[in-house]
Amino acid sequence: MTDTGEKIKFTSSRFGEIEIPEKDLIHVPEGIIGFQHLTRFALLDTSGGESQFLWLQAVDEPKLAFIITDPLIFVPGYGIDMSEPDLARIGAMQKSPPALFAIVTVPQDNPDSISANLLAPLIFFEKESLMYQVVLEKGNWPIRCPLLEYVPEAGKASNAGGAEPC
Amino acid sequence: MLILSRKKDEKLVIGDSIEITVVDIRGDVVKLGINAPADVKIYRAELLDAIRAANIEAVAQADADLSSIEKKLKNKK
Repeated sequence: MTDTGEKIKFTSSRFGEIEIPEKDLIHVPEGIIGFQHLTRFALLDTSGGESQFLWLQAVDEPKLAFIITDPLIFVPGYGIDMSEPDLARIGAMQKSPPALFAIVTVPQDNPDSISANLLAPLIFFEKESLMYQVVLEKGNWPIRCPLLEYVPEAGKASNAGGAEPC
Repeated sequence: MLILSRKKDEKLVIGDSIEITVVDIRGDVVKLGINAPADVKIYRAELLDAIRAANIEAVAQADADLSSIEKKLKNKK
């Protein structure tokens, strides 16, 4: 596709000047809902794998970044059932199984009410460097699943009593 | 905006491949049947609006500090 030696340079309000190999660029052909004009992102992890959170930085908009996480860390029973149009558009043509991310909201005035959007997760095909935000109409997953209030307890079988908020 | 009147069982055709049928009308509820190609996304507008609002709300502040949350998450585990 592209010369793997090529580098992409861009600016992030949080992380400053950034340079990544062009092959690490993430293409979001349909955009993030509400931000359809931005189709190039970079996945940034400055914690060296220590954090549950990653940054999805827009390459063409320094100020725009999302905090994302692996929803399975918080909600082990989470799974996706893609709609037929999504499968027709994006599911069938990909060869590798996708990774899942959820967009995280950290309210400025109350960071403890941090939540993840399980209704519209990000599906990431790493091999193809392609990402899509899909809407899961079938699963009843919440748009704001609280992360601090919902942490699976070690001794308890997950989803046992159906008491989980998400 | 184009505005058309349709009766029960009447149809609309959009483009070459989308057909919308008024299946039923009861009070202020209209039931629609939609025939569209498999890859066309069809959503209730309020669902997309809610996701758009959530995405806008989620745009992270450049100075967002996750360290205290990470600590709390670790302590909870």
